[in-house]
Amino acid sequence: MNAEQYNTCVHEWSDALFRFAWKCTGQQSDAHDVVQGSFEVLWQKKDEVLPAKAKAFLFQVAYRQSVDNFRKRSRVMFKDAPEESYSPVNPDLKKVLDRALAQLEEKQRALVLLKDYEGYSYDEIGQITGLNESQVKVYLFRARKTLKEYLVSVENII
Amino acid sequence: MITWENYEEYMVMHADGELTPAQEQELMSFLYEHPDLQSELTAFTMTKMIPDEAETYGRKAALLRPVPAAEKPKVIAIPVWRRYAVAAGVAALLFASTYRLWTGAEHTGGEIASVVPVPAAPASVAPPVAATPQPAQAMAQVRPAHVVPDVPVPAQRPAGQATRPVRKPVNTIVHNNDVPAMAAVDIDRLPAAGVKELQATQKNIAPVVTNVPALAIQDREDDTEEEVAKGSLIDRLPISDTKRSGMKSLASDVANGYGKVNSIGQEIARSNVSVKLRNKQLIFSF
Repeated sequence: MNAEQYNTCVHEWSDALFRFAWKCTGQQSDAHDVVQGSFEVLWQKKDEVLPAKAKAFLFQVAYRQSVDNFRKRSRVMFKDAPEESYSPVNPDLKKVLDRALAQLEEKQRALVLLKDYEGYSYDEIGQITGLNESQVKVYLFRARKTLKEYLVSVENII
Repeated sequence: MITWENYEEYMVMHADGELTPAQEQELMSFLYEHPDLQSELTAFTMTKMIPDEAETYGRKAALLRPVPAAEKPKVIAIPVWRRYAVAAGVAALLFASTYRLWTGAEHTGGEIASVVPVPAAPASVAPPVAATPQPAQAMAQVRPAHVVPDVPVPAQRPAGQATRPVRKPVNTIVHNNDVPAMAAVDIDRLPAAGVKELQATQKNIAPVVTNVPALAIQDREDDTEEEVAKGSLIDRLPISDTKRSGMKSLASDVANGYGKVNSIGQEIARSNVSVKLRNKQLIFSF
């Protein structure tokens, strides 16, 4: 990959990577760091990474950095804060889903985002996260069940 | 097989789009048997996260790296208006030369006027380029009659000879029935020089036009030495020297314009370039 192709990756994937990192870490500033760090690694490895594999490579780095970042700082603000602003009068599904996402553990959250935001298959998610396909399936099953129960409980409240 | 113990896994895989068509069918059959589970499937489907496209990364510029000169594509930007201007100029010159040809022929009398509406020879007889060595014989095959009609008529053929479609005259000069000069003319009443000229040029009207230098560029390779010695048909037209020089000047301008456009096109075709339109400029990258 040359500099021109690297710059193309910046234009094509930085937004998606930022959204993924933001939802994973729960902090915009952390997401900026993750994006910057991911592209820094891509630049260092540009001679080894094929342009067609650049996106998966970026998400692989971002996943590791997001999970590590989350563990390192042990933030739970994401789980608690949004609940206060919840208004049952205007139950916007997206906001409810964001709050439900905050209920998940970091690995489950990352897998849900890779699946829903980027449309990766179980197999591709396994390659990015280093998990096998069965583990991905289990993580996503637990995540979906948690999300569903949260949605149902919110609906019950309404 | 879907059971009460594993149906949730199938529902999650359905929400994730990971079920095979057969598994989808199996799940739908299970739901048909247990319709009370439909709401649960809907709830799983609603857990799909939707990305907010408005959330964008605002520091892209800081991530970009300078591209070495060797990697940079060469770009030439040509304003689109210039391209259109060249095309419009060529079209205007074509129109002007055609118009001059028409009006010049109209003012010179019946000889050239009678040439205009004559139908073209069949395709097998002669190509548009004046390359037929014996035009009088070609004429005889096409038109045995002595009268030049105002309206193009199909060629008459001897009995028993297979008929072939007659090519219509090249639509370079518009035929106008209202013009008196276009009326039918008895060929016997034409001056001898006019008849000779008519026979020489009666293959169709195309030779008159294609021998104009500007329009005969692609056919020049096919010209014989004999035709080159004769000069272009502009030289042989019965028009005044002033008009002839004007037509030659116009034809030369058209040829130059066409040649420039053609050379640009050939250069583009030879070089490995990509062309894209952006705003008001054509971007050539190579």
